[in-house]
Formats: sequence, C-alpha cells, structure tokens
Amino acid sequence: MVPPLLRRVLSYREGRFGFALLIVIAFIVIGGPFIAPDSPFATTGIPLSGPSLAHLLGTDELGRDVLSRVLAGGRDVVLLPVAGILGAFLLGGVTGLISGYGGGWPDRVYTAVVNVALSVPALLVVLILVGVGKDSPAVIVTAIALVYAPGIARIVRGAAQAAGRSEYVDVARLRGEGVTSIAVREVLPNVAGTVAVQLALSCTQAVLLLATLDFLGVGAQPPSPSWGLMIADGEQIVVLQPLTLVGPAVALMLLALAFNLLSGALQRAVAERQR
Amino acid sequence: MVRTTWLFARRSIVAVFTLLVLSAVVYFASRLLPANPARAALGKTASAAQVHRFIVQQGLDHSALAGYLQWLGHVLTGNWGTSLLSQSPVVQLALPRLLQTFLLAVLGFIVGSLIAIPLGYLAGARADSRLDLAISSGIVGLAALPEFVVAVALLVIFAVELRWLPVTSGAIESTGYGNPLLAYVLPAASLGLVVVPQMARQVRITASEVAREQYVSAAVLRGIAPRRVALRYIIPAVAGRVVNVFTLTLAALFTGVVVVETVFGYPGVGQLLVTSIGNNDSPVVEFCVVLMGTGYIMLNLAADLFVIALNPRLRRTGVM
Repeated sequence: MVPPLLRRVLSYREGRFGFALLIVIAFIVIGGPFIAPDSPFATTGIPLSGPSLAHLLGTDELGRDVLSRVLAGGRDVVLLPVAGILGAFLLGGVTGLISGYGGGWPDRVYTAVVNVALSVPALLVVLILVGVGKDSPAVIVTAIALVYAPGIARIVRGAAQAAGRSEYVDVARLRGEGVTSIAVREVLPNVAGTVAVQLALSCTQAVLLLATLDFLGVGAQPPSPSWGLMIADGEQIVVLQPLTLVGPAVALMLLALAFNLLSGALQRAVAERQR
Repeated sequence: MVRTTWLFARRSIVAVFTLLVLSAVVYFASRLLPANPARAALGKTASAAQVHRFIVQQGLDHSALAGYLQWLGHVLTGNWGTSLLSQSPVVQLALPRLLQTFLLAVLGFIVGSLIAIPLGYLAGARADSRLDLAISSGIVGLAALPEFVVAVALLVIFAVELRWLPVTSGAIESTGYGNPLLAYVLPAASLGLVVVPQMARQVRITASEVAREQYVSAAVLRGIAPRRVALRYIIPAVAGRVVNVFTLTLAALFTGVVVVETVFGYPGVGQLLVTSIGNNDSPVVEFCVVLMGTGYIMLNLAADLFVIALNPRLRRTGVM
C-alpha cells in the first residue's frame, strides 16, 4: 500500500521536487555535523569576515564558521519537532482510532474534550510551557505533542468512524473477527492515507513553530546552532556580515518548501486514490 | 428564536470553559514545570527569607489546586499581581500595550485583505489560467515561509538596506524622533503578508466556484457586461464567506502578532510576553497569555455567533 502511494506522489512534479529537496535536507541534517569543516562552537576565524576558502560562508560575530553552524543546526531544527509529532500521533492517533471506531457516549465525551482543546490557541500554550520549562528537550517534545495531538485526534477519529461503518468491516464482523483484529487489519490500512497526510502537515507546522520559538529566544539557547536562533542573531549584524542571516534563512526556507511540497503532493495522491 | 438563544448560550458556555482550561494550563505550567518556582522567579541572589515570603504571598505553600483557586480568585477580582522585574502592577504594564497590539492586528488584517482579496479574486475568476498558476504558486511560496522570516526579510530590505523606514517602532515612541506613522508601516505590512496566503486561498476558491454558477453564466449569456456581472453577482456571494475566512486568519494573526512585535520592537502585548519569558517574570507572562487567550477565544466566539446569525440553516438545527 505504501509503495503505490509513493509512486503516485513522485509522479507529480511537486512531489518529485519536494522529495529531492527532502533528500538534500536529510543529508544536511543527518550528515551535516560530519562533513562540516569546523566545530559549530569553535572560534576558528576572525569574527565577521566574509566568504573565504577556509570559511565558505564567512564567520559570525564570535569567529565561528557559519557553514559549519548551518550544517550542524539542522538536527536541532528537525529532530525535536518530529519526535513531538510522533508523540502527538501516539497520544491523539491511538485514542482517536479507538474512540472513532468504538463510538457511543465515550466517543461524544472524547469529541467534546478534543474540541475544547482545539479552541485553545496553540502558540500561547507552547510559549507558556516552553517559556517556563526552558529549553529542556523533554519539555519541548511534550509541548509539541500536546499541542498537535487534538488536531490529529480529530482527523483520525473521523476517518476511523467512517471506516468503521463501511461494508468490509461489517463483513469482517460477520466472519467473527475480534475487535482488535478488525481494528488492525481493516480499519487501520484505510485510515493510513489520511494519517500520512496529517503527519506530513503537522511535521511542517511543528518544525516552523520550533524555529519561531528559537527565534524568539524561548527555545534553544546560545551557543546552539539552531537556525531560528542563528537568524535572530544574524539579524543584529546583517549589515556587517549578511551571510550569518542568509545562510540559516535559506536552509530553513528550503526545509519549509520541501515539507510543504511533499505534504501537498501527498494530499493529492491520497485524494485521488480515494476517488 | 428561542433555539438561536440556546445555541448562543451553549457556545458561550463552551468558550468560558475553554478559558478556564487555558488559565489552568497557564497556572499549573508556571507552578509545576520549574524545579523551584520561587527560586526561578526571584533569581539566584535572593535570600532565603525573600524566597519564603514569595512562597507565602503566591500561595505556593498550599497544594497546586488550592493555589490555582486562589490565583483564579485574584484574577477575577482584578488583582493581577506585580511584575517581578519592575515592581509595577501588571495591569499597568500590559493594558496600554493592549491597544497597540489591537491596532497592529487591525492594520495587519486590512493590509492582508487589500492584498489577498484582489489577488484571490483574479486567480479564482480565471481559475486554471496562467495568471492563476502564477498567483497560486506565489501564495504557496509565501505560505511556506515562517512568519519571522517574512518580518526579518522586510526589515532587512526596507529598513536596513534601503533605509526608507525605521527599524524599531519602540524607538520613535520613546525618543520622539522621526515620523510616528512610519513606525506602523513595516509591522503592519509583515503581519499582512503573514495572513495573505490563507485569505487569498479562500477568496480564490469562492470566486472560482461562484464564477461557475449557472446564474453567472446566464447573466453573461444575457449580454450583461463582465464587470457588472462581477459586481452584482460574484462579489456579494464571496462576501458571505468572508466571516469564515476571518476565523481562520485569527489564529494566524495571533501567532503573527507575537513574532512581528518582537522583530520590530513594537510596544505591544506580544513583545511584553516574549521579554517577560526571557526575564522569568511569571506574573506578567501569566497575565499576557491569559489576556491574549481571552481575546482569541472571545473573537472566535463572536465570529461563530455571527456565522450562526447570518446563516438561517445553522440557526434552525445548530449544524450545517
């Protein structure tokens, strides 16, 4: 079921482009620290110098190599949000699946709770949680999971409810299959398409949210090479050494573009499959 | 009529309940997350006696639940505490900024609408044309950018490089130098750009749907000039969807306001919130979050009620 979906995504131009970008970004995030010429924390050059052979993107205000910092910063930008979204899926997806399929009054209570959770503004909740808990990774992951879980829960619950009413589930029930078996073998595969799209969309939002938090000074703290933080610092010295701002900004925009294109292509692929 | 009132009441109660949930999240986060909230608030140099006084004053020696009820009681009676940094009452710090933030949000919304509505209409009325493709691609590109990138880009281009506009809004207020009106341009423009994608998308979809409706084709076939068709048939239908768009952009506005105020040093509630977080000034943080959250929830409620009032179908059954 996954490979045909992937093939369809790649058949669209936006899917191919997004996938290619994603490969590049993945390379930077995973392999970045290994191919970086210098340590992201070490002062290896004259501060605020322009591009040179030793420092392809120049140095920042403390003399650290900008290229190395951009290559190293990908991890901070991507890993925590993705972990948070996985947590959101565990929390929201599993409960949504069970509640949507089961139905009844517990489902109504669940829906009410999810709706209330959804009307609480997300950024404020994250700001207060991370602002008070500071930059502990556990707090950040938990905050992201809590904020995105309700949205995911609602989508998964809707899909599970629709799947639960379909004919193949009735047939499975008539065959005498147990509830767990039905949930896993009949409901889950058909919910997976919608879930995949929501995963992509949520990851996109979470990555940008964390970058925003870092930029505001609420998330990662110096000397972390997180791109959001680098952009905030680079803004101060943009006249002297614009690459300290442009480097991480371009990296972040490529990342956002990759995620967005893939989410869009995935959405189209799932929609067309269901027709 | 009774049904409508009952619907209004139900939505309002849910809104109040949501506010309580938000206030609880704020309080319990402040209370439970830091290892030692009193220490975190007062800093390393405070004496043990000061810490103890703080604990008693804030009700931290009671259980979390009792503390929450005490805090809630303070909040509802207007006692919002004092800033730990400046020792002035929180209300005094925050309320003047509320007006500024509201002004910025309104300006941003207007700028965003001025850009998004014409673009969305052009793209939708000529759906799938090359113009539509160009506009839609531009919108997708803009939507992919995080808000702070847009704001910083505008700042760097217009304030730093071209020097057309001031870099910081706050400096004009405090020094009295420079044209105060200019201070609003970049923040409003940034905020506007942040909300353009969502609005434009909605306008485009509506415009393309309505353009295909039969009564529009009938009007064109009858020989009515295209501009009159647009004015009297398409635009009124689009206007009905505007409230829906408003609700969606509200969330983006609230997030955007915090970021834009920080980038431009704009003296609003969002900037106060961010700097107070950095200073561990918990009374101010709590107040700002509750204030902004209240605004968000109330505005959502208002939009909800407005939609119900507008749409007779919703009034009857409560659902579409």
